[in-house]
Amino acid sequence: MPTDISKDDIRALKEGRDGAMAELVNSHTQTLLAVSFAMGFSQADAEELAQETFAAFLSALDRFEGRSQIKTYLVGILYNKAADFRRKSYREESLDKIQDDFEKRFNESGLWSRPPLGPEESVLTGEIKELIAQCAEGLTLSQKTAFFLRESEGESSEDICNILGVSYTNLRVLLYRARIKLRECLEKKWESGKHD
Amino acid sequence: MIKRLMPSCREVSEKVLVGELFNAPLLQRGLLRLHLMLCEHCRRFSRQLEMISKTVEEIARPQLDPRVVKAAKRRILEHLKPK
Ligand SMILES: [Zn+2]
Repeated sequence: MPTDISKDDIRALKEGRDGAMAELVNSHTQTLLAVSFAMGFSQADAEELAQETFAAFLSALDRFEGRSQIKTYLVGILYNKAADFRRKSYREESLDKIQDDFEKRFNESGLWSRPPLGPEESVLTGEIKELIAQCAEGLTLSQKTAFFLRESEGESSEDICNILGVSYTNLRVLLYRARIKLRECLEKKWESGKHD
Repeated sequence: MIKRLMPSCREVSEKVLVGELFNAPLLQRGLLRLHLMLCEHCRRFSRQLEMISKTVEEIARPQLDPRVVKAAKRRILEHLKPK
């Protein structure tokens, strides 16, 4: 799969040359749909996001200076569109609360004061997987996008930071919080399921 | 001696959260493992995080139906072509 684009390709797109746009769409639609699905969008919304991303890219070709890979650049556009799309219903949780709640689980000497509950088996059963999947729906857009780029696309931290517009430290904190949140959620769901 | 060197539960769980359990320096890694052997709470915490990582990896790689992708490509191109 071609991941990069040459100056010639950009020129071809600008001149509206035959096949240039088709090649762009053919090469990158799959990635754009995949990241949209990983963000939790429906098929219809995913397609709309992908289309808007291409349209935005084509209307500002000059802004793409070939510095980043085109795929990274397109996913960056899509991420911003998705954030706009979600903004109405999207509320970043108070960032310190997750950390605070986690710290409260330990006493002053660093021992668990409220030990973790939830599944204790060492095998990942279908039931546990399902609960984690449900919990993952509650992650923020940036968390979902970061996981997708790392796990699915194998992007470097640098590219992920560029796409999300965050620093390396922010990225680490973001993933750290995602894991705390997923575990807390798993614990809650598991325990409430047991006592139903 | 061991008790003083031994990382606390909080330190262990933080290492687990940042995924640094297995690339810590040798001595530290040994102590972390020892802690996990002795402490059921941290063991549970670490197993759960492992399960979470595995599941997230799977979710982050959505299976796309090639027919869906093909149809989307066609519609997107249709929309983008100048009228
Ligand atoms: Zn412990």
